[in-house]
Amino acid sequence: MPSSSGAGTSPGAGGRFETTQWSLVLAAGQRGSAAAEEALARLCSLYWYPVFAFVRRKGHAPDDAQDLTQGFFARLIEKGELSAADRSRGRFRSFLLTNCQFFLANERDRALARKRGGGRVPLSIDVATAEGRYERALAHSETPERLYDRQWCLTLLDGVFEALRAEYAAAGKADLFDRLKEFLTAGPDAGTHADAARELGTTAGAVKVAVHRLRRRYRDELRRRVADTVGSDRDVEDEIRYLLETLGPSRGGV
Amino acid sequence: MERKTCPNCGAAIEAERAGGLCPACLLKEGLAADGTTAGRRLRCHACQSALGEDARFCARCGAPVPVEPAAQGDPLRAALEAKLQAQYRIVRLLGRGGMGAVYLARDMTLDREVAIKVVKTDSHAREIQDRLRREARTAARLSHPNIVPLHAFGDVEGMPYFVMGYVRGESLATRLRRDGKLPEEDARRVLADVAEALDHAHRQGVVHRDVKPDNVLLDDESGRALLTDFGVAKALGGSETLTAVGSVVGTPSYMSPEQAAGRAEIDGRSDIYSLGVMAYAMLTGRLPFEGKTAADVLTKHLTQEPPPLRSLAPTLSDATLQAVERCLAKDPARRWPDARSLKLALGVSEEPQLPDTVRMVDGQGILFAVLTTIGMLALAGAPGQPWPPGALAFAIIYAYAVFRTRGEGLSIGETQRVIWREPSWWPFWYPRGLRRRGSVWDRLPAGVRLSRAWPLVICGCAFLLSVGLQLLYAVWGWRRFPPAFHLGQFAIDVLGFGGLLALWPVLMSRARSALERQGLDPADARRVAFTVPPSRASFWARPHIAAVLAPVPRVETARRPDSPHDQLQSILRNADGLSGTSRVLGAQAAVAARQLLVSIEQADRDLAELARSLDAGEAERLEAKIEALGEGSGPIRQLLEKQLELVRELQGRIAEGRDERSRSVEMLKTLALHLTTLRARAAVAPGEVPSLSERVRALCDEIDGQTLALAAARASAGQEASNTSTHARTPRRDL
Repeated sequence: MPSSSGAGTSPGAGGRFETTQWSLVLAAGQRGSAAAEEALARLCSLYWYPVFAFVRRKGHAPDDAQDLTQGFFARLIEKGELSAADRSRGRFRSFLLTNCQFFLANERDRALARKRGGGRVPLSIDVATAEGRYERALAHSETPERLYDRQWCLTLLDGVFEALRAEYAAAGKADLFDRLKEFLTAGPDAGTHADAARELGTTAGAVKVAVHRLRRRYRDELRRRVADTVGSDRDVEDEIRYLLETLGPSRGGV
Repeated sequence: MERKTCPNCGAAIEAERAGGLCPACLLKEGLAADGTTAGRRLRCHACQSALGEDARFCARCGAPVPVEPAAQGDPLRAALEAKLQAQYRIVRLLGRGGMGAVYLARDMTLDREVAIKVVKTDSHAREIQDRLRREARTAARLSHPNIVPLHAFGDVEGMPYFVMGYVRGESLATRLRRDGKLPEEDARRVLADVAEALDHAHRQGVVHRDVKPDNVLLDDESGRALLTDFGVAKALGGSETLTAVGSVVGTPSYMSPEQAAGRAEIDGRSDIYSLGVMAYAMLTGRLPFEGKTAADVLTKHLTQEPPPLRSLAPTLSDATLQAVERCLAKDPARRWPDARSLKLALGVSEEPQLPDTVRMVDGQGILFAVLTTIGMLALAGAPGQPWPPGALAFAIIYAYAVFRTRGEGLSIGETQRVIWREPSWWPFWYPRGLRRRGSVWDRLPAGVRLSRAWPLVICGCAFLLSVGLQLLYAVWGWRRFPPAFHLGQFAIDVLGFGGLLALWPVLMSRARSALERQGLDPADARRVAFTVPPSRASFWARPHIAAVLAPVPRVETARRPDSPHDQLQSILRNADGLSGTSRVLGAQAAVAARQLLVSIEQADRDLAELARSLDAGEAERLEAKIEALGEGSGPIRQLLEKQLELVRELQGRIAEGRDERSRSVEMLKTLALHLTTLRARAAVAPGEVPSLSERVRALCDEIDGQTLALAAARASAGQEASNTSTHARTPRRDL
């Protein structure tokens, strides 16, 4: 089991992550295990939206897209259809995309539009929200694959922000988080720190420390989530760089 | 549909995704530390050295790391409120730090303000709580004017909390951050206060272990320094070792060598070392040891001598210098043996500092007199001694003392008062006019006064007897008296004085047992009955000691029958007795009367404060000096003139304050009179008396207007005063 041993011993920045969700799935292999199934189900529940966007972009109507997406995940989770070829590529993102492409091709061939999922719905997809998001994202004339990657990226970041906000809210600091999150992308600007300090009724120094800690917490959470979708911690850096390239017109910023 | 692009990288931003931020920039933030913002380290706001990620203070300079603000909907506060609502109402958050949070609350049963401190604990919660509980019990026994009292202890959601006395003011740390360092006189006073507190705690067997500026609070009202957080450091720090920078309990900068070495047996002398470090910081504005890491600082505490105080503060007095340097000895045996000796060494009396020469003779007269008397008595029997050498020596020393003290600008009368003043250590009776300020002699219980006066009775008798005999022998000659006379004298000496002397322990023990019956423990009873001088105000101010003293005689504030308080009572009584439509008027008058009383009391306080800033005859003295200087001496004359101007301004303000007060008093009197009449009339013929009601109403309106105007004036003057009062008070010291 190369992946789990790699994850367990990897040094450096990501060294403190233990076995990732995706490496758990990979390690379980074809036969599957309860833990691996649960890990896969969790990953799917996090990243269904990029798949839905991809299916829509492939030209399916909203209702069909919903059915297809649910059918795809049903087969994936319930029947454990993991292809060895895809596993070797090492990333959950690409695994999901490739499998989805296969699935769509098969579905088209069989033209069995109405019987997906055997009546069981392992994922609940909120089609209204999904459609809303999809329409807003449509402005670009992107390829389905590129749209998939971009949506993947946004879904990943959504998850990070949700988790962080929940964490701050639990400590009674939701307002602090909402005010300070903007500092995650803007460069450290003392003037803005002072503004935030005024709004929050504290000192610029305290805001600076709070921003620093938020930034660190954000970075840890992001890297943990990315690590969950790749085979080993060593791939985290590459995966982030890849995602960065799929975004926006200026991709050379790294 | 609105789409934004990132100004930094041009990537598309979606308002509802990724927190509405640029996803590309966010991803970049997640890359490994390679020059992006993520790679940056947190730096100390004071010295810019790198900080550990969870550091609570800078390991190099000791500055605390500012902590993010509490958000609305503070769950800790909610939990506290739920737990303590029966007794306390949480008013607001006072501060939040690495160690927890402090809230201002009101104790509703006793109607007083308290501070509630919640301590964050992580590991070994059970063990820490038990230890905190034990320490809290010990700390709660400490009752001293320089120690923040601990009222209660408990835990909320697994976090221990302490209910403590609320001190209105700032911490010494805040003051030092703002001002850098303190004037020597202020520093000495703070040191003496903290030493007093430590002395008390050490005698109760409590070691503080975390003496540092953050734990010293400066009370705005009394100007006293109070030590807080007793026992917390011990309870939290007992089992923890120095694992990472900033994770130790206690600040490395203030740790004693034995603490730094991790020794288990720490005694009060460790606190004295920390106090020495604090003194060093107050006097020089810097710490004796600074280093890049906590370990660095601790090593220096163990191995290095601090830069000499004298080099950093050249104007320091020798007494202070020696007192602080001895605190900082590495070997506890070479430090001050206890906080009390340190306080004595600092020589901070309960009164303002005197020049060295004056201090030298201050209260020494009685000692010289006693020594001379003993000398004279010893030589009394020797024949042919018309001028006993003792008296001669006394006269010479006395003349020299007067001469030197006169050199400090004191008049002959003032010199005599200084020399014959009650010595600060004097535990016996002393003539009223010569007693020290703050002496509680008159308030002592009668039994105590008798036992304390008794030795003087014996000495007085001995003195009279010996002088009488000397005279007799001088006039008639010793040999003219028959042996029976000498035998009689011997019998008086032995029996009379023996009896008086034997009575003394009886009087003392009676006084002590009376005190013990009043609830004092034997040690305190002994101190009250005999050992502590009546002039040591700090001792007598302790609440349980003050309880056995007679109340402070109110000479000036004694209420005359027509005092504002009585006027108010009369108004309230009469207002209560009104009925029908007049009742509303009565209520209005009661409110107005209360407002008036508040403003009268405020005026009294203001006047007292102003009077303290100004000595009688100050302006005349300054004028005389300016006169004496003549025209030629420019800068000094300007300085004096400036001071004169300030003094005149103060005098003006005092006059204004008096006018204002007497106006308020007049209004109160009128109101009281009107209300009495109103009630008397109403008793005869019920119903409103139109003309009189009208007058009362008008008066109430006027009072209301005046109170508002005064409040506004005071608010604006407060701003101004904070600028000018410091100027107004300090220049005299500069002279």
